Amino acid sequence: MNILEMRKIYKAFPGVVALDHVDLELKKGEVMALLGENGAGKSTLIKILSGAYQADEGTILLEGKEFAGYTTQEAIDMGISVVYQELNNVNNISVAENLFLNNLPVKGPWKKVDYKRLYQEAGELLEKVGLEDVDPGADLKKLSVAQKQLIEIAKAFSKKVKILVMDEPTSALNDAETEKLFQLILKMRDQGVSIIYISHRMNEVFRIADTAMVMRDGQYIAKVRVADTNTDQLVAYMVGREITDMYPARSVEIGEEVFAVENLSTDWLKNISFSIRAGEVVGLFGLMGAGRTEIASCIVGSKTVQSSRMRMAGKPYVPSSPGNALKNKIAYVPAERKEDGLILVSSVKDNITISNLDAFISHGKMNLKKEEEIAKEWIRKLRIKTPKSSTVVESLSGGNQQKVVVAKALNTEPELVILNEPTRGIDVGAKVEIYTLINELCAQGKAILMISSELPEILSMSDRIYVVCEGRITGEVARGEFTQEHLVKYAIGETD
Amino acid sequence: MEKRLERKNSPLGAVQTFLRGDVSTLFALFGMIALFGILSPYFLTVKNIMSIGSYASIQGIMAAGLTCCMLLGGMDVSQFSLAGLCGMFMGLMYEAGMNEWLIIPLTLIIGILAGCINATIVEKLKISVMIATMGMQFVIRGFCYIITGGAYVYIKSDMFNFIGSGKLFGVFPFCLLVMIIVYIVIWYALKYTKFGRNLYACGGNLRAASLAGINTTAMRYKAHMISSFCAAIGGIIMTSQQTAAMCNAGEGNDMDCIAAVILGGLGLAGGKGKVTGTLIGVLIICVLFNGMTMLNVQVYWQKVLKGVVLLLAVFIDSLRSGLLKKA
Repeated sequence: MNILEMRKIYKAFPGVVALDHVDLELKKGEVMALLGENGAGKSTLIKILSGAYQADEGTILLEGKEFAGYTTQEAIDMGISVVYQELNNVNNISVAENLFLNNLPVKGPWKKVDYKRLYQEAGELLEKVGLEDVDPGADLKKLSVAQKQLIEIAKAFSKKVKILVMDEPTSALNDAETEKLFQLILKMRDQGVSIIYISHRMNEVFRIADTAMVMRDGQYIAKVRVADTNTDQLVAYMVGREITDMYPARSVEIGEEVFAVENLSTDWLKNISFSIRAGEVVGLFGLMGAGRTEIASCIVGSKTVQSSRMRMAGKPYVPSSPGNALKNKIAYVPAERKEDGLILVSSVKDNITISNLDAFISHGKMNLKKEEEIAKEWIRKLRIKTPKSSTVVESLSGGNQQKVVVAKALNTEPELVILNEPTRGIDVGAKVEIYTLINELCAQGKAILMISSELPEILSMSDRIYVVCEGRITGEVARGEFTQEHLVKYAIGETD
Repeated sequence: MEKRLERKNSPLGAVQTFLRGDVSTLFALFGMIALFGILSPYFLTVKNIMSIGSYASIQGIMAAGLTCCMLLGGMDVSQFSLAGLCGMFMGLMYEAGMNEWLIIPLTLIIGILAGCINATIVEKLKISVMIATMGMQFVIRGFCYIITGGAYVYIKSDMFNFIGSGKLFGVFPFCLLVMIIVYIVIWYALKYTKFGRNLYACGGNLRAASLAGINTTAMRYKAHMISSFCAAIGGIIMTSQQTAAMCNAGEGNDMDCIAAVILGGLGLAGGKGKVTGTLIGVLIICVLFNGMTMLNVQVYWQKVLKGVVLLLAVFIDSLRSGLLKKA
């Protein structure tokens, strides 16, 4: 029998139909991958399941019984737990308190918190998710992102969970941590827990899922057994067309040096030196917290540098502020598009032009018509899907938001473009478009510094890769020499 | 990509859409005018309308400056204290026999300096803007009393009298003209200049704005300087209308402008809203209090009403931003 059935779920937001009569079936002990591009409706469907949203139409059957209009708390009580992409932890209280946030064990007439029991029970939970070396009394903020992710899963364990939903749980994990998580998922499956697993990473789907359900444009497209399918078929379902070449080839004559940095040091970084030439993509690989983003921040001047010598286009360059970096033709696409890249409440147009308003200012007055033309040009060039240039950027899907950030950077006519995780959390179709764009930029003779945690991406797109570990560059690998093993070895600090 | 279909509005969604534009506030304004017009025969006389105008000018000018601060995601509750202090300096300079044409620019400079101090406290001492300007509110008000030991300074000057109470063509208050000019300048600056665009960007997302190359510290200074500059203009008009520099001038009015700005459609978070909305917000509040006075509502009740209006404004703001909608 199906543990969960969602039938003909319909949900509309002002101006948008997010779910168009979607069906979902899940068996006991089934691991189902939920696939689809950004904006396909996966998140909305999950939010309806978790009680965060109410469906406009449709029924939800849990173990054969119909439920409607329940709250998130009631969903948790029914055994539906969701581990969201954005972590819902309280940073300044202990790990144990986070785990039992709304059912702390208490004792006595005054309901004092029973810390002894709390820590003991927390310890047991931590052991279950493989975090036995974490102290339950430690503040949560001391944990790494990966550990926090596992804490979220432990939270689900603290309740009697029947259906566990995971929304891109591995996006912040390294390979070893991912493997640990998979073991955990398989263990839970064997205990009869049903799992819905949302991911953009195909290899993960084939590694752990039994079935895969694909959504597109708010509609149910297909559900297949993973054993009977392949990546190409799933991708075709997702994008509605075949993607023949994920990483388009590039043949560009590499030119003169555009940018160089020597002996860059901060509290964390030690003697970082590298250079980038025109038409070249230099990759920066490393684990989370290795210092890759810090290198980028130092170059654009949003972080103070202790000592360094930098050259841009043959002239000495001293970073002081992002504004100054732009004047020196260095543009930055930050990793966290919502926090650092976009002004979410502003329009697509305003976001695209904000870094280069001077392009349409004469005598202090902005030529709004010219601005509109510039914005439309970028919308067309990068194929940004937006109803109007005046649409608020918040309402766009992740991939299109990312294109807006890229458009903003390119609109400053840079010579060096720093891309930090340029395809994080965006769908396959948008990814390919970003890769194509990178190739076009190379062809125009721009230099590109690409920071990425995704191995296939950095291996396929880079001409050279520098590996960062604990604030140092531990390896430089040229194209043709790099293998996955090479990079990972350098990234965890093993040098040969 | 999400499919776009025709709007499917829930009742709350419809309320939200209605509240977002200037239409709803204009609607409220005209509704109130009609109501008071029916209830009081004096309300819709030219004399009373012009009196609302000259009363609104002080608050209106200051609210226009405050709009810049709040667009940045900032706040300024020191405006009325500063207006009082500017008035005191004006009075003292007048008493010392200084040239009237010199007094005005000097007073405005004092205002701008106070704005710099506000911005410095926020940027360099890293104190949250609400607390910073609240602290300054008390500090400045304290100085209003200290410099004359609490005494008033009377001003008998034709020029200052004209600024506060003068009428163009015998009907149109001069201070209302000043307000209109201030609104046109700020409206233009917000819509057509780099300053305006950067202000919206900073208010929308300070970190992203900084990474987009905007000098966010400079923007904070500019916003506070404008806010305080407008407070100084307000102070000059206020003092002129009272024909005296009073150390308690504007005391207790500190939240009036904030209510007007929020009512006009600027969120507390910054980054969205228009200065035209602020103007409507100011007019709503001024019409409301003028109407109350016309209907002989007790002053004490007007105080209660003032609080209610502020709370209502913030409530409407959360309705607009959909905070009341579940998740």
